[in-house]
Amino acid sequence: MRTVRPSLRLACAAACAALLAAGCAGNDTTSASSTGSTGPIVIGTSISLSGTTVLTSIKDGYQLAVDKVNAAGGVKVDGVKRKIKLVVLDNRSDTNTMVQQVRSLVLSDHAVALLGSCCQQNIDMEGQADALKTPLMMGALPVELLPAGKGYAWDSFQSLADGADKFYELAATASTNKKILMVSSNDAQGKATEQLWGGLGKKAGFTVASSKAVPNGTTDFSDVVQSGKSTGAQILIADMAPQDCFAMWKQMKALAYRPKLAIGLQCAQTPGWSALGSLGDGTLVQLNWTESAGLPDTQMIVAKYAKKYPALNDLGSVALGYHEAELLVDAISRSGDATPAAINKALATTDMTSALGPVKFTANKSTTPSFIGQWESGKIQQVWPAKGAVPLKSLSGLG
Amino acid sequence: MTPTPTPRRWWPAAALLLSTVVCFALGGVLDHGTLDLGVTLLCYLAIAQAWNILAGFGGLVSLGSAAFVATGGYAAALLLVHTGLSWPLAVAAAPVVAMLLALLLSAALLRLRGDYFSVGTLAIAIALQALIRNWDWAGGASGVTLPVDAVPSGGNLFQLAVIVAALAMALTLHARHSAFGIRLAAIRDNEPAAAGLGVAVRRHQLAALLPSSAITGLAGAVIAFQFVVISPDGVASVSWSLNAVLMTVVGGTGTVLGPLLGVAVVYYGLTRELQSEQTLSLVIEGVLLIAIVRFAPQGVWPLLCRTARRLLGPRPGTGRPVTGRGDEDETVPSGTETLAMDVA
Repeated sequence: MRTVRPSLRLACAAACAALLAAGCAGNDTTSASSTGSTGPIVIGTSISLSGTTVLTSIKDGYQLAVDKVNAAGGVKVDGVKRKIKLVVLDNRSDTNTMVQQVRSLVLSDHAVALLGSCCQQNIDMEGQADALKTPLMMGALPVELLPAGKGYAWDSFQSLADGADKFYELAATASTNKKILMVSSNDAQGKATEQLWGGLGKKAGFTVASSKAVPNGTTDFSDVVQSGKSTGAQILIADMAPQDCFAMWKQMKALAYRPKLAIGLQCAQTPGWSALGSLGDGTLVQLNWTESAGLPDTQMIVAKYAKKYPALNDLGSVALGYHEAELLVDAISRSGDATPAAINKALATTDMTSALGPVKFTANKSTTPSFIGQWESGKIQQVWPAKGAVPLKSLSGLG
Repeated sequence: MTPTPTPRRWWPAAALLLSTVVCFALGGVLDHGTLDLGVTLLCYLAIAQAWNILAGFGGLVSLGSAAFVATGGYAAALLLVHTGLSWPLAVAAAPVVAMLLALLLSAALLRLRGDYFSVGTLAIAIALQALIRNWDWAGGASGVTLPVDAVPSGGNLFQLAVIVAALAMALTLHARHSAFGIRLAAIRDNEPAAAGLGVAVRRHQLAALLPSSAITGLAGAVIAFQFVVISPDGVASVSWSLNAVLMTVVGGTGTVLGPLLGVAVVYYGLTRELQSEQTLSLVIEGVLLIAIVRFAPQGVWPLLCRTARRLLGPRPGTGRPVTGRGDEDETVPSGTETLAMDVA
């Protein structure tokens, strides 16, 4: 049998210290809160800047709004001008990382409010905002999809219904048999899109010839394509993650399925769509912003970011981020004391015109306008509404 | 050769008890940020230790931790949301459901050996994630939102995490210092020889798998309470499995304290402290893993202890340098040898 060695005792002592350190240590607990002082007001965001989704353009929009306020001396709170400090963390498109970062932003960095990420991550983030009682201003989530929570999440973005109406108005001008193949992911956004777009399509005189729900990460779309071919659907509505859309577009080409109109919701808005090359030409995309719509601060956004983001959808994302941050900064300035509760209360009474148009919240939601664009040679041009639009082209990529 | 169980002593248990009591008491005094960080670290510690029991002591290299995190998390969440059960009962149900899943899968999994076992467990984790994604009652791809007011938070959640981590540490100590641990290590080192010496292989592997999955499920319930919204991309993510492996391998497999160090280094040191430099964090993680596999395959903790012993010089009274590995000692025979000596 062995005897107890001094080094083991040392190890045990070190382990006890490590257990305490690991279990109980934290960030700097002496850092000043951003509330109740004259120091900078901290707002934070955990956003996908790497991994499957890259939202650098939205982050740039956040920073643009914050820089603009700080350049003017800060935001006036209770008669005192205070700078805004934006803490941006990259969650690598990972939900677990996002949750841990959001909690760290609020509990350790003392962020008084949060800015959103995108899509499903915004839904996951809402629970944290409610649990931490910290306002979360988000876009990039259709307003119909904001779950009913405790009232700390605010969504100002497009509405699925408005987008569908605009699409069907455009589709009615094209020569098709009005038969639709609808392919959507089986998550909340996909299901809501299927229901809303399908229902509104019927009202507009279209027929959903085939509807398919696919899990995220699907790589084989042969049965979906086959169903489009067999039903003779000439309109394709796809609401899926970008990589799923990429795979499906390639398989449509390979299997010679040639719809006359195709819109890629979620997926065709991403910068990666241009990587499809000519295959993506003619694909329609829902936009939240265009240069020709006459929205506020358009010239500033274009002047500052047109070189970095030549594509319209990316500039639209900058505008979206700018819009979200503008709304939050406005609420902070009206909050009186810049506490999370006061900011949340102030958001409810928002009544302003931001970079995406007029904003007024009802049940924590405010709808921004929708536009339909079309990909052509790696660029997007507005094709609907007719004002400021170019004529609709054929779906040449799949032709 | 990985470290082998050593005879039971009173002081590790006493140290664990003391640490648990101290940490539990701190639940009432620490600030919210520290408590939240503590919950995350303690959950990772429990999951890493559960993996350590199975892989480090039992030789069953699992990639299925995520399946049990998801099972525990979803069991607790669904019971809260759909039955209105109180959170303590929901927490109590989580390890039971995780163990039931492990029991169900054990018939197939424990017939697999080596890499086949690892691939089998990974397949289960991925299949379970896909199942949850398509299960409407569990919220499908969007997941489930827990009632914020019905789940513990702050100090209470931290204390719950302390208990879960302490249970995991206690189980590891048991595996390290008990006859059961010796037999388990014997199976790990040489299964036919262990069987030849009379060890019931399947029974011992099952006895390691069940508590390991229970602890992982329990940690899953705590994670669900912390996350509030649980979705397939969150609690059912395969990253839980990968983190369990990474943290234990970095710290030291088959040791009691290695996973503790691994959690501190990987989560606190790399993920948390470098959270504003995610790319750098990933690169360092990768380089660290490669360096450890190449230069210190037993992990950092044994390496640190070996270095400390070298610095301390010869052991008093023996006149020879001490070169043990971590809290283990290379002079201790392997599991099979120990068992053979006991049988003799």
